[in-house]
Amino acid sequence: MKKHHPKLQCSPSASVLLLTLCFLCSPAFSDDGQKRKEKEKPTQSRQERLAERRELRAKENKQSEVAQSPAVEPVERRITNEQVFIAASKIDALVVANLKKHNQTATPAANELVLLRRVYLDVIGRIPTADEMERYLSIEDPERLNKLIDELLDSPGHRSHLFNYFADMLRISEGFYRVGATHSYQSWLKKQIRDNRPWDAMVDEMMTAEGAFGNNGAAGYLLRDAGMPLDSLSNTLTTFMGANVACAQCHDHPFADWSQDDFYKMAAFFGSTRFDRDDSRKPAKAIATKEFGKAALVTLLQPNLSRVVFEKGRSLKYPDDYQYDDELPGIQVKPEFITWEDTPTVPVAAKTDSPQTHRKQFSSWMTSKGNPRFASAIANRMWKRFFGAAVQEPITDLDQRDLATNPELLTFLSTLMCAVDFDLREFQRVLLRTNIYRRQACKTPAEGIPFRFPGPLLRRMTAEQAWDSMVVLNFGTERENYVRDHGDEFAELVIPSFEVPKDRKGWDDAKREQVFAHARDVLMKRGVTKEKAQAGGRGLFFSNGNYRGIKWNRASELTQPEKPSHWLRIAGQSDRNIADDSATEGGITESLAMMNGEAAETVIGDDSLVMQQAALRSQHADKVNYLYRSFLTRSPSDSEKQICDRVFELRMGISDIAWALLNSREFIFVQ
Amino acid sequence: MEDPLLKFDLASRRQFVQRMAATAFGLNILTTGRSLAEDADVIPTNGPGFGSAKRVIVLQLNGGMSHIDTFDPKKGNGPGRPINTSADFQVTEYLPETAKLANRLCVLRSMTAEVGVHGPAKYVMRTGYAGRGTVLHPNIGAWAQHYLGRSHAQIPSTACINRRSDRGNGFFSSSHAPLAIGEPNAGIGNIEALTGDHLMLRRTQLLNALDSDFRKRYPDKQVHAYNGFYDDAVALMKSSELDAFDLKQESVSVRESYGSSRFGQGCLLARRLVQSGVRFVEVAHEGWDMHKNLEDDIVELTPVFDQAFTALLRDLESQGMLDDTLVVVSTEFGRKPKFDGNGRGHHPVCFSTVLAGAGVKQGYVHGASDDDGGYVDEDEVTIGNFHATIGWAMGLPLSTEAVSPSGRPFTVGDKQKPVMNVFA
Repeated sequence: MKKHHPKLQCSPSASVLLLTLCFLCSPAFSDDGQKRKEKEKPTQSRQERLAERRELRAKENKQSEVAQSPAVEPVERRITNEQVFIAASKIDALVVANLKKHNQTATPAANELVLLRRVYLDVIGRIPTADEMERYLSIEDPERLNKLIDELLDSPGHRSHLFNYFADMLRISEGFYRVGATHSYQSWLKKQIRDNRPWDAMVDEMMTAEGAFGNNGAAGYLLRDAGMPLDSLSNTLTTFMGANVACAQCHDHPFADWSQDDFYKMAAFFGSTRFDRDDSRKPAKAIATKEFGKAALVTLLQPNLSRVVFEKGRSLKYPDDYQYDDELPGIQVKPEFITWEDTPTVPVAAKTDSPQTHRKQFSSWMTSKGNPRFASAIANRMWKRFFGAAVQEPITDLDQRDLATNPELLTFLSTLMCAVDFDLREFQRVLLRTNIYRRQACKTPAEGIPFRFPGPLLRRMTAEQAWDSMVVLNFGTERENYVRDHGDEFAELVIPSFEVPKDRKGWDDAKREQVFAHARDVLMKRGVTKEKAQAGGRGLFFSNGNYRGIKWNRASELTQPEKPSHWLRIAGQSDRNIADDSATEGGITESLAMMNGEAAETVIGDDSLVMQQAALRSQHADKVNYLYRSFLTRSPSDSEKQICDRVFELRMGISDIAWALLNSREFIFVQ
Repeated sequence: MEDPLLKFDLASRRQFVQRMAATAFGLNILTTGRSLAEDADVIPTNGPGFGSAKRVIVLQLNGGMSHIDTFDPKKGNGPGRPINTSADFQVTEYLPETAKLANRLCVLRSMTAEVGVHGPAKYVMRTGYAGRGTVLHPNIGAWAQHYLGRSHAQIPSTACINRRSDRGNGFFSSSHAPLAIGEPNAGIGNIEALTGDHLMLRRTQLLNALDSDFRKRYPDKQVHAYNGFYDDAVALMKSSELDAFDLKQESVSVRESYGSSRFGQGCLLARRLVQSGVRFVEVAHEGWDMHKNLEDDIVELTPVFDQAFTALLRDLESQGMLDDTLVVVSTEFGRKPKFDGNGRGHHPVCFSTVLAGAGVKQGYVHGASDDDGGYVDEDEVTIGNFHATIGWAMGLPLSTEAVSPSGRPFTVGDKQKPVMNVFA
């Protein structure tokens, strides 16, 4: 198979309050057909509502004291500052040459505060605080921006921000397929990011993961498409290589050079891999006794039953409706790589006859530096995060390099990605160092007009950036140190040397004893008393309701994804059913939430940190100045000062100004 | 000194309504006027069923409804047994209520599509066009707003329930975007201002004044779209039609008839919305992707659908609205005939959809699949045909092109013909 590839390429008590607040957001009716207890929300006055919030806030603050503080590890740099500079200059040259070729020029340099805000949003996913802005301005060092970028790239905020990106791309979802929870997957991903694991190694680990999901988070990737090997491959090729294979799954691609045969030959590498998400409900029912009920066992068993295993004798066969060769339906497919023209270094598996090594071979091939598509795909994605548009759109279809707005740039970015050994932090360091990144933002070009990067594109914040910016306004920067990670609790549920029975008969007394012994073990270690255990239902072994009253965590440390009525979802957080599905288009529902919602009310309320700090200032002008710096990372202009003076004359106050700033286009768009 | 507050440029409600009126009947402004009259392929703008649907409710069964286990049963294939209905066709035992109302339905058993991957397939099913990197295609509600104008002065012409808008306006302006309602019980959330009317007005004026420099500096279409969303949101807050979004206005018995599920309540909300003047409503229902444990999953899911769907039909009928309201059951693809006792794979080649109300034939089956449900046997219906059929029922000019900002011409159903056979 030769592919054409153009050149390289809550009332009184606190708990009741809490319940009421939760109810505000939760449906009285749920989709599983179960009617939840309908609790009428008492009619509250604004005073009551505020008192309630205050209690909740006190609880939250207490909680954050016990929050984990991530260890600071020494940062290893793969390339020197000088190398970063050289690579950045090369990128600038390629962008400028391309602009020149099309009679365009780069935009003027961005104002340093605009740039400061952009850097904070791009690197740590939130706006800078007024303090951070002042601190920055007080530094006398021509290298202050570069130093800040390095500092931010190494900070917890960066991990959180990058996690949001990959959570969308990899469809991190806690409650997928009714009975599965993906805490090990989340935990794994957070660890990879914290350790700055190279991209190729991360992907390789996902591709080759083996064993029970409970203690091998990387298996979460394949298990996300359990029982759907063809869809899984389609997602893999599209996500990691930008190969537009969606059509080839069923028939030859109508436009691109992909045939159904190509697709099946690639899928055959996973032919002997079994990644099924066995439903734990039936076995749980089969072994349940008074000691441990079905509901509790469903949770305990699931991390054991969801697994990726090699299964001898399992193979992929051509489908019964295979259209292109009458002889083939029902015949076993032999794995074979796709190769592209002019890509001599793609390691073609010499021996594809040992099924046990197939998956490893596929992964080595896909994640190899010699595979131009793998590096291109992630480079193109990383570029898009900072520049608002990818060099080649859509990011999921890179089949024709000549369709990139700047093919040479994409080629260089791929080379650079290989040169930094897939170190995403270093790669980002280069992009942030470019001159072109530091230009004024451009407006969205007309449909169909290629965007050649005269500067970054004006973008609406992602839902997570906007949320995390509200978190920092409300609580300050401390929330960044809290990491929600239930990976260890989840891993404890994995039963040592447990063999999953092949059929119902296998769930016999011996199995039950093995499961129960482990169950008792887990509870003993956790100090759960016998009485409590007997009362425990679904959440006995694991409960992901570990909010503990915290509502104002960073987006990455909240339920993944949030419920549909949550601010994040209204603002475009993906439901994580489809890869790369977050949205920034806005809408009436979002505008209503921003104007009238609880989030906005909290941010501009008396208890929010930014409002308290503003109130401390005695002069109106100072209050206004503080609000402007906090919300918009700049001082107000003369005419804005005048307007704000008028606000105080009209006996309006700082909360009105804060409301206006929060709802401004200037706040939500990243210049 | 000049009072800066005098310069606040909030669009008052009057201005808002005026602006709406300007676009509402401005059919000619927006269409290209390109005449296809000479073309033999031109689709007329009159005939049986044309314009019979004053409003449309689309039930989107996401994940890929197995046609074989629902509306196109094949004896011996699959866990569900075929049952007789009030019409002379069968459905599976999973749809007992639907079976009773089969004499109101028109089932299309010869649907065919090309893409078997959820994301792209849902896009095609919603817009009638395959997704491209360069252009976004509108859903039928946005198309209808384009040709027919707004269906109501204060509330949006299109809405989507239990799902996001996902740029349903396509290449049309953001004023054509569906209003997204994520939680039917909550109705339209955050509709009450944090302050009294007077202060809210002041705040809004302040917002527009303080933000004016930025908006001037960035005459960007996204920024412009946001300005529109805020104007529309403010108008909606003042609207006298907000009860349309409030399910508590319905009696307990009506609410219960639809079932307590989010989907069921979503269907009820859709009925309230179309009754109040919203023209096009999508209601999403997740969970139809049954690769594993189909036998268990379908028993969980179908009762929710069966109850909600039939309650909607009965409710519309009792309110006298079924004659000019089209109810559509759609899904992105079907599922494979091969049943391994566990589940079924994606199958775009042959699947089923359902139409009901608004002048379509009753108790009728259009087209047929082959013996095992794998291929279309007769009267194939493409997604283009399907869209053209709904467009026809809504009275949209199927041969009149609209040009995207990039200069490319598009039509409802991509120039494909409506299935005239479904109209009585």
